[in-house]
Amino acid sequence: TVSTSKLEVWSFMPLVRHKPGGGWDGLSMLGRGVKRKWSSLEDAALEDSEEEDRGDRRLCLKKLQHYQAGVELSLRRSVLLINTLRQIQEEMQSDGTDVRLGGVSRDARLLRDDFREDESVTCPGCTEGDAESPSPPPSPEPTNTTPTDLHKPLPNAVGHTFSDAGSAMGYLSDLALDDIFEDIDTSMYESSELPSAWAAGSLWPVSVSFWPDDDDVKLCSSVGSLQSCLLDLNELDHIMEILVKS
Amino acid sequence: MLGEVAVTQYACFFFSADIISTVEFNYSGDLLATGDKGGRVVIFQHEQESKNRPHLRGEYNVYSTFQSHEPEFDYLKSLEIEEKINKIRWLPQQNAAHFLLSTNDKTIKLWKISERDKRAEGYNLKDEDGRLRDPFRITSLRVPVLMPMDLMVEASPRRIFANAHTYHINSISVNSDHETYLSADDLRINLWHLEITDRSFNIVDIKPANMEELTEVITAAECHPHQCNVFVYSSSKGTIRLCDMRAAALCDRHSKFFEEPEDPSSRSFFSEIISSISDVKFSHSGRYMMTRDYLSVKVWDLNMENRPVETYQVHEYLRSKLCSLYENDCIFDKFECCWNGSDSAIMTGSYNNFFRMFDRNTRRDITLEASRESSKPRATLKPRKVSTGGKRKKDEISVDSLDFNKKILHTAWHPKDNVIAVAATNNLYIFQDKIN
Repeated sequence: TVSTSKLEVWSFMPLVRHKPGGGWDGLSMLGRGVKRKWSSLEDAALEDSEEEDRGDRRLCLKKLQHYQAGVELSLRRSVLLINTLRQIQEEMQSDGTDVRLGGVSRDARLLRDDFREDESVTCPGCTEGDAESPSPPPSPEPTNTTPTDLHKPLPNAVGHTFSDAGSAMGYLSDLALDDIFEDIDTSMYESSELPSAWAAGSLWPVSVSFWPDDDDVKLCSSVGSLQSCLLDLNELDHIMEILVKS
Repeated sequence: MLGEVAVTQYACFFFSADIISTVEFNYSGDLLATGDKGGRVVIFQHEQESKNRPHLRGEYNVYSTFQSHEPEFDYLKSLEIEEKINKIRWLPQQNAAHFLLSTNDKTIKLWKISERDKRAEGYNLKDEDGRLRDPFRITSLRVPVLMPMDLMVEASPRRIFANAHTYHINSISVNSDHETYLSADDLRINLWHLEITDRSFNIVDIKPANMEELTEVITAAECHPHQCNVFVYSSSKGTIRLCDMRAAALCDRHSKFFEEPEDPSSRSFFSEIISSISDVKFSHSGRYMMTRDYLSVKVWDLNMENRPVETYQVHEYLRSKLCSLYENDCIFDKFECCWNGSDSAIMTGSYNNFFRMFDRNTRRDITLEASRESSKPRATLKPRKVSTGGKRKKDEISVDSLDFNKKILHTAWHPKDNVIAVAATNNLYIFQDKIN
């Protein structure tokens, strides 16, 4: 309980500017195509409308990837971004560009409650040979799995492990509790759209395959391959540094 | 009505340490509640007009301040639950105390705000300072007397409605029966009884079996002001569904479906995002409802589903800037809207601390600014204008000079008088009409 307090009218207290929370990269009105760190992975020129579309698509992806660790993302924002991405890809397909719509359905996997990184999700650019990667088969509903089955490592997990939170989440959402504990209602622990692994600051499990056009840049990210791409780049930078210094 | 707006007078100003996230007048308009990002609620009370300054209506002063929600941590998901107050809704007053519902992303609380201006003195078993008296020393009995004391306003949580929403709560709405209320998150709407906290009825569920098929979320919901069985909810695809709770226990099938056909000439990649409805409000009469999307406000006749009866452009000059607004995330801003007491005017916010008012009868509109510079005491607010063409007139501001950090998302209109409350980030402005 608190007591009343009178605020004097006309009082002009010094303004304390509250810095907005995460997700605000700085609000500049002008200029599109702001260069960011990730752009070093891409080609720079964005001139005609087709490249504009790709730019929008990249921006969609960037926005989908940007998150603030520890805070749940807005489902509304994610859905709108995915729908926009889908629309861009459909437009590009109708324009005659060789588009793999598998990419979109993979984005939609972001929305799944039980999103797990246990499916083979490689991007074409990161595997040997340019093998076509079809849409991953839908994850089978685990019906009679036991807990130990769910902790199998990823086939292409390169140099990383899941966070405990992530695997714990996967355990809880996939375990067939119906069979074992029929009368316990776990719906309140149902995860929201983004697994805790993301928020816990671990890997970004976005898996999107991009059509590897000749002009286009292979913008690919998937659980293992993203990490390995980054590791490779880091190593390369490191090597370059050493070479340059010497 | 807009003739009066032209002489709207700056009356008072309040500063909060945190970003204001909701503003709401109570049913009489005597109380104005604000919620902020830090989980605090500040309530203002309308003071009576003073004899000294009869040309002004009474002022609003702070009546009560309390911490409604605290930050929480969801251990299961390793996620923080923000304490930010998303919505406040008042209950109709039934006795001397005031009740309001406040909600963050996950938990709704019913608060009782009551005044205490008397205290009992002359207890038998304890002294005035509270120390217990030795019962064997008491030789006579006395009756405690109620003595006046300085007014104290106490806020106490009476009900906590928790654990019913997996997704983020965006709306709460008190039903006209004054016994139930609804709460809506991205995918579900629940109906509660104000007395019962351990269960709620799920009345809308749009969650698909496979979340990958999700393409639409619930963005706002409201109960009809008079028909306790009717409510509406809006979606991220720009549609509104009206549901009748008498039809079925689960209102997944709407009674009415409101959608305006898309204008093919203005279609762009951002069409869906800007069509997402950020707020829906019934008129006081209950005959109309108003929706706010990114660029416009639409008034719908409940009897006509295929298009709105009125459309008002809030800041059409932004249509050519959607790409930049998408880049800086402003395109996802959720603006609210509100009716005046007689439903003759509507108000909504914009950027650069601008807010807009539209007179439905005369079709005139006005743009005003909520800022300390332009809001001197007892001064008249000057209409503002954004120039879109090449030639910028004096006093106009160009689109590229607009400050997109200064957004007015929350506004409220007094239910009876021409008094408005405008939240500009962490500043609350209350503007009053000059009495002629």
